[in-house]
Amino acid sequence: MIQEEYSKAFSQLSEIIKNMKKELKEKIPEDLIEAIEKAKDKNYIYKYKPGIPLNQQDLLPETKSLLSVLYSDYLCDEDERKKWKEYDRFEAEILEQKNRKP
Amino acid sequence: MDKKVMANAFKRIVMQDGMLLKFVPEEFIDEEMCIYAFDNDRKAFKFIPEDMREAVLVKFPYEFRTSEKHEKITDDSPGKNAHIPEEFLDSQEFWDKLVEDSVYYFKLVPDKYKTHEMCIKAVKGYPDNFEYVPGNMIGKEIYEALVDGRTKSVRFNNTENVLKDIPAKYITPEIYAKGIWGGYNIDAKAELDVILKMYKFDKLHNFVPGINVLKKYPSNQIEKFDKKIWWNLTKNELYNSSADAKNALVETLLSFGAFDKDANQEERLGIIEHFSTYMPKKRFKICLDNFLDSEKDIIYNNFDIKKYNKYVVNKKHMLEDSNFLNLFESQDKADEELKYIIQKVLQETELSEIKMKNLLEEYDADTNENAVIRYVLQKGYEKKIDEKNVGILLKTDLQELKKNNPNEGYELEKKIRKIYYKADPSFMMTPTKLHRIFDGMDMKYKPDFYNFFKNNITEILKNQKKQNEISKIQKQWDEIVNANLGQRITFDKCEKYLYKKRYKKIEFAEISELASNCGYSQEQFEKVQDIYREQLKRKESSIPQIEGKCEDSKYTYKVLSLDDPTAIFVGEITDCCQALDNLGESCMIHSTTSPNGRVLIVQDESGKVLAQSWLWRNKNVICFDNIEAVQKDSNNKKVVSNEVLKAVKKAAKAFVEEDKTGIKKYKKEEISKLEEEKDNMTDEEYEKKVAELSKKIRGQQLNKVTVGIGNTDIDISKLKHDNENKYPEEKVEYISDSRIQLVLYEDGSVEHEDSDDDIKTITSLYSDNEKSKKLINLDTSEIEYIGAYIEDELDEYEEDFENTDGMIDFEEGYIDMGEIETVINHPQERAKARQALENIKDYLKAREGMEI
Repeated sequence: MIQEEYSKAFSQLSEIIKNMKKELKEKIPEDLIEAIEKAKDKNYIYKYKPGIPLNQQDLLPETKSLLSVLYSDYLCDEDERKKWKEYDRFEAEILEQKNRKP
Repeated sequence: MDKKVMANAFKRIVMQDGMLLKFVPEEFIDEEMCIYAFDNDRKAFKFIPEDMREAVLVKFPYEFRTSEKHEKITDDSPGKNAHIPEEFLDSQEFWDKLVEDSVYYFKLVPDKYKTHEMCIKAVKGYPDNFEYVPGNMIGKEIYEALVDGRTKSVRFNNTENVLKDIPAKYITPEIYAKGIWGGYNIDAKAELDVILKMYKFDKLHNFVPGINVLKKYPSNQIEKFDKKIWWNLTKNELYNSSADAKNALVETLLSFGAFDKDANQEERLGIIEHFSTYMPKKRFKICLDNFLDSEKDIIYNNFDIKKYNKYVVNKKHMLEDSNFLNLFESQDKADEELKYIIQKVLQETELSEIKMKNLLEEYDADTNENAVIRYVLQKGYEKKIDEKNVGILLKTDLQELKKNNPNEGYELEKKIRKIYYKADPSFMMTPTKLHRIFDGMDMKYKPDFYNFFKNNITEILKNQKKQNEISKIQKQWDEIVNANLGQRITFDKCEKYLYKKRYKKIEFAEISELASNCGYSQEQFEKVQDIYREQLKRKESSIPQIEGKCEDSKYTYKVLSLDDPTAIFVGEITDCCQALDNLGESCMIHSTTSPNGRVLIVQDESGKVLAQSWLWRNKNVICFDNIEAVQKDSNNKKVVSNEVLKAVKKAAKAFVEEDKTGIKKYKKEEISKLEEEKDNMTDEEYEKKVAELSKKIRGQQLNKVTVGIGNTDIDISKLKHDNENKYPEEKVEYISDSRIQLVLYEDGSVEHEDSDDDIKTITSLYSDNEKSKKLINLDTSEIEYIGAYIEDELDEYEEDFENTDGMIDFEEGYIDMGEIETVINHPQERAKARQALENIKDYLKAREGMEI
């Protein structure tokens, strides 16, 4: 189940969103934030450490992927969004090709 | 400095973080560097000079394929079309090209197309690719590539991480050296900052100071740096004794405006230079018996010596004095009374002139008893010349001597400094005082503050409290001046300002009170409030809360509770650098927010804190990073040291014993959980899980407690060295005190097995007893939360208040776009992540629908 795999990542994502600057937080739809809150693993405690850069906060790979989706869908500008679409298309192509091979 | 060396350093930086290309001076940017930057982060493209973009895009044919320009470039690339032709997938050339273009695609390459060369390149470029290297190819070269790759990545920021999983036989001196480079514990941005400073120093002054100085020195003040001044001062023992002293020199120079060329520059430099031999121009009383013969020679030759009188008791003379004897029934009675007066009342057989004067004043009142004592003082003590206790005043002109004969001058200065130190250390500037006074200053020259310092220098050198206050005064100088409406600033006025402060945006009253006691500014108060908010989130720790008392000592030890805000201020209380805006700030943050950090204090019977230590835990070891004692005079300090060491040793043993109990309980609970699930697993699976649990426990059970020797104030020289001597596994910037560790307690009976598990996986078994008390119980009932203000800022505050509709916003976040961009490079399985987000949105909608 995708959801189970991502529940810890949702916990981390929720902490990251809580610690985002106000102007960024405002760009993410409230219902999505609410949904992330509900989907997170309540037994998993992740603490965001202030003063330590985000790239040294021991994030799960799934969290980084989720964050990259939030970034490309809600936070970045239009030009960047186009590039991310390209990135997604290329990743999909490669995986598709790989899956097609016996 | 060699330009090539600089260029390579910049390349290494952009390999770690491509976006940092924007800070690289243009003269160092070449195509190779642009490729590294772009490879690390596609968004770095905007910082690549126009004329180099073509070269980068040729190297990365799959990027920006929508652009016409790049369609052309990538015309014959295998990734151009939506469908990669089947035959390409069976071509070695295709996979080679794919990995050549970006090592991140290595994981997609079928094993049969992975060549040795490709694996090396892939692992070097992206160390996580190691797990996709076929087993039969793993060997010396792949491990070398792995170390190479890790040292370039910010994620592997210490030696142990870089060398993790590398079999011992492959760790050559060269590989180890690379690991050490990774062990600098310095992130890409900080490294870039240092390298840019190196570059600027080199270009402007043809001189580059050491790495610690570079880290400390503000970039915007490099222009005014003067290497002649620097060299002159670093010759001085005072500034050259340690890294801390050199850091203090940077702070001293900049806050004293040593590089600011104005009419008073020479005077300011003179003061800094003379700190090392500074003595107030006054006569000192010394006891010649305390000095060696060689030192006495120096005293006789270079000091003006003044001899004083002393009064020595002459009992025989008194017992022959008929006036005295007539006061008593018999000679025996007179003898007995004389003994009593000398031993119990006057207590000394030799009196100095001052003491004699004071005693005569003390027994001036007209009573029979006083009359007898006065008579003994006047008739029973004979005036003699005191040959041993003399007053000394330097008569040799050291400055003149140094000018005419530098070797002899500097040599004599050193010797005289030792004599001064023996005579009265309280007036001397020492490296410790220097560090204490200047650490935390904002490194800006404030002429009026300098004058204030100069006028109060004797008081500052003598008084430790003032030494602790001075950097806070410097930081808040402008505010202090404003608050006093241009009057002459005295220490009293500064203290009044520092300690009577009320803050805005108070969320935790205790923090406001403690910050005010430490003289923190509004900005500093907000920082400690943020730290405390984080501290409160920490509910468990891997370090148990213990407290106890030594049987044969009056001292107690105690681990501060997890929510005790005193831990944030303990460095201020014990006068060490483990405090906000000081060198050990990262240690303070670790001790208050990490589950593997805490603070232990030792108190006397009245509750006064005598010593404290930042504790950090790796798996099987707790380390007292060092033991910082509250300063005492030299004699008293020795007595306290032994007692403190006893308490600390007892605490060390208590940690191990407590952990044994904790682990036993944990094992029992985990086994009973497994028992409950036993029906759902085979016997084999059950046995495996039990074995895994035992292994985990062996890997993390506490069996040793160590102590770092750096800045430790007590004598621990008799403890044995720790052979393992590991540094904290969690990243903390300042760990110089525990570079050498001694063993406080070790329990050989505890079964231990080295574990490669990350420190984050260690189970935090301990939460605090609900009744655990905080170190300082403050009455915060009178602190106004929202209404608190600094008097002269009332208007400004009211404006703020209005703007927030009566609500103070405490939740301003820290993470900005730049930070997010550092973690989203090359994300894995974005499609799956998107699906997960879609699913939860659907779930929410569906649930809302049902509720409706």
